[in-house]
Amino acid sequence: MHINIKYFGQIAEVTEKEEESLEFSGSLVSELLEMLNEKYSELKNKDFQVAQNQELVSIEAELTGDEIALLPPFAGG
Amino acid sequence: MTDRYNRHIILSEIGQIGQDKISNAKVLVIGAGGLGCPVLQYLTAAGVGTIGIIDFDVVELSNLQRQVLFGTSTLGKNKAIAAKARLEDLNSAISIFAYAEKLTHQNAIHLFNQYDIIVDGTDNFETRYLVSDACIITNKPLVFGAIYKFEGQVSVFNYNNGSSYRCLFPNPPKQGSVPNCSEIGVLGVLPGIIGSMQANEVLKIILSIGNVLSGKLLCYNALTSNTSTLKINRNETAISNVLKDKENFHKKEINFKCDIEVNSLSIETFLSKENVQFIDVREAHEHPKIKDLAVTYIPLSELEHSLDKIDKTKKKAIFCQSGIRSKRAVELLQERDIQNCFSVIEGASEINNIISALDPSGFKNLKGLQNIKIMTNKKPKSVFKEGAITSEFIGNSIHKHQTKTSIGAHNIFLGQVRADEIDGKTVSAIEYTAYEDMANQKFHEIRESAFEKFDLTCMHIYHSLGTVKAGEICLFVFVSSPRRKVVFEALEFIVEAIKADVPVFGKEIFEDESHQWKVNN
Repeated sequence: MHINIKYFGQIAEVTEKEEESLEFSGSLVSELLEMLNEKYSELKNKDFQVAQNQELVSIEAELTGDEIALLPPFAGG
Repeated sequence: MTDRYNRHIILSEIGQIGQDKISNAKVLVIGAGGLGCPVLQYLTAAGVGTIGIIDFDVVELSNLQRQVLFGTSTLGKNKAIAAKARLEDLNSAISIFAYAEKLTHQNAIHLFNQYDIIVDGTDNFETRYLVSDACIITNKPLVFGAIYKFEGQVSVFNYNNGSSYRCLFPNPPKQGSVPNCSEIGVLGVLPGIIGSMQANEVLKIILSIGNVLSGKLLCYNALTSNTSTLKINRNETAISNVLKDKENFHKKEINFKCDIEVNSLSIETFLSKENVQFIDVREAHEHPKIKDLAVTYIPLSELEHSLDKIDKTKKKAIFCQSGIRSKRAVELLQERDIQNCFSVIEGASEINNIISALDPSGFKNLKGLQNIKIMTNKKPKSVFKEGAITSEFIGNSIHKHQTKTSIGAHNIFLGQVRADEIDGKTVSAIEYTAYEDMANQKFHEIRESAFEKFDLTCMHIYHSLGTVKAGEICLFVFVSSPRRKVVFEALEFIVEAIKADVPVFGKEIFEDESHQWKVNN
């Protein structure tokens, strides 16, 4: 499955990029995160939520979307 | 080159000298719609050397009935950019500049200064007055065209000390009192005729031949083929008032922006609810009718005398052909202290499309629709602004609401960047970023639920992106209602929801240029 991943704020500092797209064969959001944790070792020390196609999802959710975003704590306002 | 313009050059009134004048001319066309298309087409064909096109809008299917530069392949594309592509095919020897943005009081003067002649092809009075005033200030001739159903008007303003648009109509008409094409309809060929007349005036000005339509208003009736010409006297006061206020011109804003927010909600919001009265304020002869929905018919012209038909116990979802008259109706009802009135954003045919996209089995029973979410192609409007929100902008927002006299209370929240001291270092600025698409969607949801929960007349949210220095404003929330109590509750609800739900990120930058990430608690 082809997935675009977007990184924001301090997460983008860890990954040193704001987005990337990759092929992934797993079926759960948690599996994708495991793979990213391996790729970016600092990631597991960070707090973030996951949005799939612009809706927040739990990590147990099934991967359906082609856009995943890793969102650090919000600071609007 | 000579071949291309041969039919001009062999005219003794034009010749090579005249054709060179055309090549050296710079013309700006405001709006690439019904009027703008023929103007652009003929000016490009004639070889006007520099042509500017400004239009923020995109091509829609209903435009193709009269906007002859576009086709099905350009649906959804920006009009200025689509027109430029088509015109470059027509004549690649000239320079065409497309400005895919709104004309504003902030960009008009700079833009107009780059051209010799301005052509007005807009479809609303607010922009016409902006164009006219900017032409007076920059001293540019304005080739004016306007259409209404089967009638059109042409004139040339500010030409050799002639009259101006404000000499004809010193002040704008009351908002919503005059419908535009999408509201009332127009014969497709009419803008073709009027736009061609405008192109003709432009060429006469460039070539200094014939009699320019200055000080005169030409009126054309497509049904009778009659033309009549009215004389317009120069009104010195109207012109000097514009010049006197020149310094403040760039601070002004087009007022009608606010009206977008007048209790306007999508039809979706109401389809899933009980206790809604759907009111059609169009005249009896107007089509299409809404299928499969219980509708109360009260034409806007009769609304004032038909208040007994309004169900006070229900939410009122008011619609018309395009969403303009429905806003008038909401204002009118609010002035008479009738609460819970909403203007439906979509026009009648779009409402039908939305309804027919639903599962037909769920339709008659409104309750059955409760969990259906329909995707419309309306993109939520962006609330983000680059950099700090200025006190001038906030002041203007307040000013814009003073014509809306059904409002009895405003409440404003201003978030300011605080110079926090953390471990001996002081925050000097916050740099904001956002997951913009999702953030705008969240802002939209917050807005819709605020309108649902509270009896608000309008609300506005603006949030900064990029760097905002300590002491500057990064969030501006503005709610208005007939009554004071609701604005306190509504504002708190909205601000808390923004803090909790909207993906905006803040990098707190210290005076020594190190940083940390801000977290809402």
